[in-house]
Amino acid sequence: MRINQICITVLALFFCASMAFGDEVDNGLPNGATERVKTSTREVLRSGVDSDAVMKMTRLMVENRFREEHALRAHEVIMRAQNEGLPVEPVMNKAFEGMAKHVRDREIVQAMEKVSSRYGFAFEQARLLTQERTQTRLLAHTIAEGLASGMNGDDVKQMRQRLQEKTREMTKAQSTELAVETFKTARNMARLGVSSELTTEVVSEALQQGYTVREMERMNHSFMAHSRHTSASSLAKTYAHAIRGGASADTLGSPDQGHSGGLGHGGGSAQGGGHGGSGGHGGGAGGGNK
Amino acid sequence: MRKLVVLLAAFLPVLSGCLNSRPLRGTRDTVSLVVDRPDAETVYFACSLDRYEPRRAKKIGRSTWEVTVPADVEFRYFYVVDGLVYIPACRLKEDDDFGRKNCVYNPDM
Repeated sequence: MRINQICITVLALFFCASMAFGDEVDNGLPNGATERVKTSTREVLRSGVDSDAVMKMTRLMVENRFREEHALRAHEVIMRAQNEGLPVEPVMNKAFEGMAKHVRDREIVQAMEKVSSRYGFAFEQARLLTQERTQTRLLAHTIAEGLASGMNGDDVKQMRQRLQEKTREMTKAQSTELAVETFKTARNMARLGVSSELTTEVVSEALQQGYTVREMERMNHSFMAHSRHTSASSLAKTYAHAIRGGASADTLGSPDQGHSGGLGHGGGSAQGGGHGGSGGHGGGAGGGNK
Repeated sequence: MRKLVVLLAAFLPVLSGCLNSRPLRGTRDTVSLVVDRPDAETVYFACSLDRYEPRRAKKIGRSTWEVTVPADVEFRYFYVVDGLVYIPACRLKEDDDFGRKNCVYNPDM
C-alpha cells in the first residue's frame, strides 16, 4: 500500500513537472512555434540544459524563421552535446552569434555541429593528458579555442603526443600545468595569425628543449609582447630557430637574435586593436598584427 | 574653459589617431572599446558575454563609437555597422565558423 502511495506521489510530481515545462514552453515561445518544435524544446529542457538559454535560443530561432527541420536539428545537436558530457554553452552561443549575424538557418546549424565536434575532439585530446575533471575542462577549452583560431587537428595531436613523451617523468600536476601552458601558447600564437604548422614547430621545439611550465609561460608572454612590433609569423620563425639553437625563454625576441622584422623596426603592421589605448599609430583600417 | 575641456576629452580618441577597435582603459572593472567609422549611422556591438545580444554603441565625437565592457574576462566580439557585420583590425582573431572572423578580447593582453 505504502509503495503504491509512493508511486502515485512520484507520478503526480512528474506530471506536475511536465505541466510546468509545458507551460514554460507554451507561454515562452512565439505563436509561430510548431508543435514539433515545442515538443523538442521540452525534451531539451528535460535533458538538463539551462532552461533560460534553451528558451531564448528557441524563441529567437522561431522569430528568425528557422525552418522546422533546422530548429529540430539545433536541439538535437545541443542534446547530444549534453548527453556526451560536452559543454553546451559554446554550441548555443554559436546559434546566438549566427542569428546576430543574420546567417541562414542551415549554416547556423552546421556551425553548431562544428563547434560540438571541435569540443568532442578537444576533450578527447585533453583526457589523454589529464584525468582530473576540472583540469580536463580547462585544457579542452584551451585546445578548442586553439582549433577555432586556426590550429588543425593533426597538429594538436602532434603537440599532445610530444607532451605525453616529455611529461612521462613528471608528476600529474606538473604535466597538466605544462600541457595547459603549452596549448595556451599555441592558441595565442594562432590568434595572432601564425599558421598551425609554424605554431606547432615553435611549441614542439620548446618541448624538445625541455622548457618547463615557467619557461613556456615566459615564451608565451614574450611572444605576445614582441609581436606588437613585428610580424607574428616572422617572430615565430625566429623563435623556432632560436629555441632549436638552445636559446632560453628569457632571451627570446632579443635584438641580437636578428629576426627578419627586427624589434621596433615595424613589420608594417599597424597597432589597431592593440590594448592599452596607447594613442594609436594611425594605421589604416586594414592594419593588424599579422 | 570647461566646455573646451569637455570637447577635448570627447575628441581625444579621434585626435589620438585611432582608426580601429581598441580598448581605452575605463574603470578598473571595465574597458571601453572604440571603433572609428565616420561613415556609419548606427553601430551595434555584440559579444559572447551576453549571447551576442546587439548593444548600441555610443557615438563620441564625429566618427568614433564607444561601448563599455567588463575588463577582466575574455570574450569574442564583432560590430554591426548599418546592418552589416564589421570586424575591426583587432590583434587577436579567431574563425567564426561562418567563413569570417571574430575579434577576441583578452584581458592579459
